[in-house]
Amino acid sequence: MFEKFKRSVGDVLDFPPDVVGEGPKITITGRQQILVENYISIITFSKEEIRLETTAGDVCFEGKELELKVLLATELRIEGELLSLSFLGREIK
Amino acid sequence: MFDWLRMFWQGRIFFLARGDQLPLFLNQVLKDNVILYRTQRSERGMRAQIKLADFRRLRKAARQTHTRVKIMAKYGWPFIARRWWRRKGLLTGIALIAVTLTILSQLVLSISVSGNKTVLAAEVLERAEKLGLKTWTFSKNLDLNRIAKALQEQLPDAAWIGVERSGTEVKIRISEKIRPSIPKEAGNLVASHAGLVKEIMVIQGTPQVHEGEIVRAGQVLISQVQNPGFPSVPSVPNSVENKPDSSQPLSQTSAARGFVRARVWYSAEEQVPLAEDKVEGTGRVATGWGIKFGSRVIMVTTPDSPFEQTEKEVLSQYLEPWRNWRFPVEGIRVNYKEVHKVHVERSVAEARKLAEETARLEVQKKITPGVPIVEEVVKVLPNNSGAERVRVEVETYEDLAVYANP
Repeated sequence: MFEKFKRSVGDVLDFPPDVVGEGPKITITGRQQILVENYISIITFSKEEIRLETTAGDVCFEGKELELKVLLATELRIEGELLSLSFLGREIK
Repeated sequence: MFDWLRMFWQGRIFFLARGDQLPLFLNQVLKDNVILYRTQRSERGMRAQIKLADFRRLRKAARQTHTRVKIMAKYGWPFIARRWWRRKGLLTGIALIAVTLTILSQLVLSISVSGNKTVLAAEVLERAEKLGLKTWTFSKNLDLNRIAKALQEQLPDAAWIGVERSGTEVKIRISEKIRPSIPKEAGNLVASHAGLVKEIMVIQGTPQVHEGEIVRAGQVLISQVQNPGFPSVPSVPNSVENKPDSSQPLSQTSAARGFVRARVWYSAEEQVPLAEDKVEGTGRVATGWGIKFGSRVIMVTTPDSPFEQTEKEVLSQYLEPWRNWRFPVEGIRVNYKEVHKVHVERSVAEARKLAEETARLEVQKKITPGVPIVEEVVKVLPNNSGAERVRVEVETYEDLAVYANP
């Protein structure tokens, strides 16, 4: 209910979605750099796969030689060769 | 660049974390607001980098998740500083060397005399020392021009003395006056100039001229005693001016001594045109620095002259590491002196006055300093059109007798 209200207010006021919503903002530059903002926690990580928990469900990055370049509480930067990005779990209401 | 500098300044620790709950450990760490860099899975666990200041805050998360943290490497300024701090002796040594070099490079460490043949180097050094130029003094406090001038006044045998400093070395360069040199007349007093002898006073020796006689330069005035009757004449040479200095080794026992006063004439002629075009410096100078590598010149500042017409003066500064091997790179300094063309027109009176002044200066250079001028005559000579010729004749009364340079 509150989510829906927030979204409609945001639509009316023309806010960018990352200000309104609590979902993650994922910026991918080329195939090498990924910037994820607003994530909740790290579920697993290895050189081939990094799985993050976000409000929009789990985000899974698959690639080669993945490395968490900078790791902050709300923001992380991944570098490496990205192969795929997929969302798992929770359905969007 | 700045990231790298900040990282270097803060200090980094590379660590390896091992355990079964690594993601949990990561989340715990992030909850504590610790920033991790370059986190990567490896076969044995997880490698990451962390700021030195945050390292202690890992402990809580590690204990909670049963993770073992092992330091792999340390990097950055705090570690380097600590390592150096442990070697205090080395640090003190480096500081000491720096201070010593700074102080030593400001001192005069060696003084050399060059260009002298008859003037003794030891004497020059002694006089220089009295003027304040000695080793182990600060070169900043020395007024080298004043010392050069004073030395020149004190050494009548030197026509010119230059004192210059290069680093810790002070070079005194002397160019000596050329005196009449008649080897076989050693010990005799000879005439320094041509003149009309007015007075002779012999202390030792035989007079060879009489009063009223005109002598040539270099003519023997008083000859030494061939077989001295009393050989124990003190070896102190006369302190009369115009005598060459004590630096001359004479056969003291028989050297001639005395005065010969005479009238001596000097003259100089000068011609000044009424209209003249000449190039004159304006006094404005621009300086540029550059590096010279072989024959190639790279100007760092002021590559081109800022003035329309210039005279260029290039000074090069180079290292002399060993003998005649020169360091291939040298620094150069270029002084651009502004010049401009001037057209001068003078009236006859002005031209005459100028010619007279120049001629007088010319004469004064020839006269031995300190000699009284008895008479001065200024003659205007017949001139070709457009120029004024003036001749200045000066008569002095001075002591002519000098020892012939052996």
